[in-house]
Amino acid sequence: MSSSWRLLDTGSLSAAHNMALDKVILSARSRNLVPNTVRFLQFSPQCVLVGYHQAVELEVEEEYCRNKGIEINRRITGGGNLYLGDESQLGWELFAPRDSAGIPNRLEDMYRLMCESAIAGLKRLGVTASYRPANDIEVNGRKISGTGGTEIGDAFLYQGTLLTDFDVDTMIASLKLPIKKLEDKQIKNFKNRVIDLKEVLGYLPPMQEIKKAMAEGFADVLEVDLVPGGRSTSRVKVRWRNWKGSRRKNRWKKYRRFRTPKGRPRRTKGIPERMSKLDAEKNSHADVRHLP
Amino acid sequence: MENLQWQVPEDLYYDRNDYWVKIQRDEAVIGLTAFGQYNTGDILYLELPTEGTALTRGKKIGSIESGKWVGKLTAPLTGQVIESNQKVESNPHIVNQDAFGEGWLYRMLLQDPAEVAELMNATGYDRWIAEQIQKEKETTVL
Repeated sequence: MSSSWRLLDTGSLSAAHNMALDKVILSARSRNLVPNTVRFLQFSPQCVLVGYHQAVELEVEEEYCRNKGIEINRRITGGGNLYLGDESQLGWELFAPRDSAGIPNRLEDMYRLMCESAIAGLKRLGVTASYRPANDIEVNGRKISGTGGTEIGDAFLYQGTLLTDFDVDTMIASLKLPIKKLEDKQIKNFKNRVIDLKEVLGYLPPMQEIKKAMAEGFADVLEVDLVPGGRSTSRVKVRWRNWKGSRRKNRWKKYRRFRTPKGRPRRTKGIPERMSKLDAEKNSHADVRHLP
Repeated sequence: MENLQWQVPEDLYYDRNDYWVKIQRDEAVIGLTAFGQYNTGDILYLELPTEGTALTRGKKIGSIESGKWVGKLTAPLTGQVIESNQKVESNPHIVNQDAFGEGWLYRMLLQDPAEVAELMNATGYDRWIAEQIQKEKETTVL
């Protein structure tokens, strides 16, 4: 008999609220306050998110984002910088204990399982997608979804974004990417390495239809029943009240999880030279694998 | 049971979160095992505890990122950090290259040396790895 998971659709929220919800749901799951959960999320206004360990000033065109009203925030999951258009991408997330039946302990096996469940959803929309190790989903060799995850206590969060109607030009303008130094032809080539649902199908299905198909894919591959539900228990509400403002603060957005050579944690002002070099080196390898 | 696939040095102790522990009188050096790396993958970022940090066995003390996954580092023993390995924080890939040598994570002062008895020796860890692999084969969906 398959187990029941909660299906949560939180609609369009700001980046700060979405990031706070990630933390609240994951920590609530680790304390057994909420059931295993699949969440769909969208972002409004548009935003840029950096990975947990990344530095905003090295990854984001901050002035451009300020001028265009693009919010900047930090995920609790790993991976690179990404741009999320105003309701033009669909985020999906799974929350469950690490030792859930059928969830591999080895991370690479887990990535595969999670991506295969999203691929099953895409198949229901008529899209033939495939898994590209370690964390991506592609259609005809072009990336349509990137994924990542994290854990709190014994629970994990695995999340991905599905490009539905993606604005590549704004992505390039809002993120610091090595490709900006490239020739136009190479930039065009870069753009051809991502694809969205609208381009694959020739039209964009209604978002509810996309969510329904994805939910069925998750339920099928993970062998679970999805039951629509809300975030309603009082203990979770308290956690939400305590956390919902936390991701608006610069302390979270700008905090860099690296230390100076003296070994003291520091904020982002005055990045240590060795870390600048390290990030520059990492950025030099940045390509479509990191996006979004 | 002998484990042929992952290096498990005889002179070390191990915990169930895949850390190796080298005991040197009242101190210990901690690192990630080869099997731990098999589970984790290539390490991209490490956030280690700083000198003086109090550690509680089993509790989170830092973070580790691999393949877009942010995982937690936990303490295999209770005590206090004496030194963290700055080299691996700057270049985490060293852990993948030389897990039992240059890739050590931190040195700590033991608060309760009796805790060491609760760790596994090489034979016990070998057996534990085999059990994990078997469990994985039985439960994986795909």
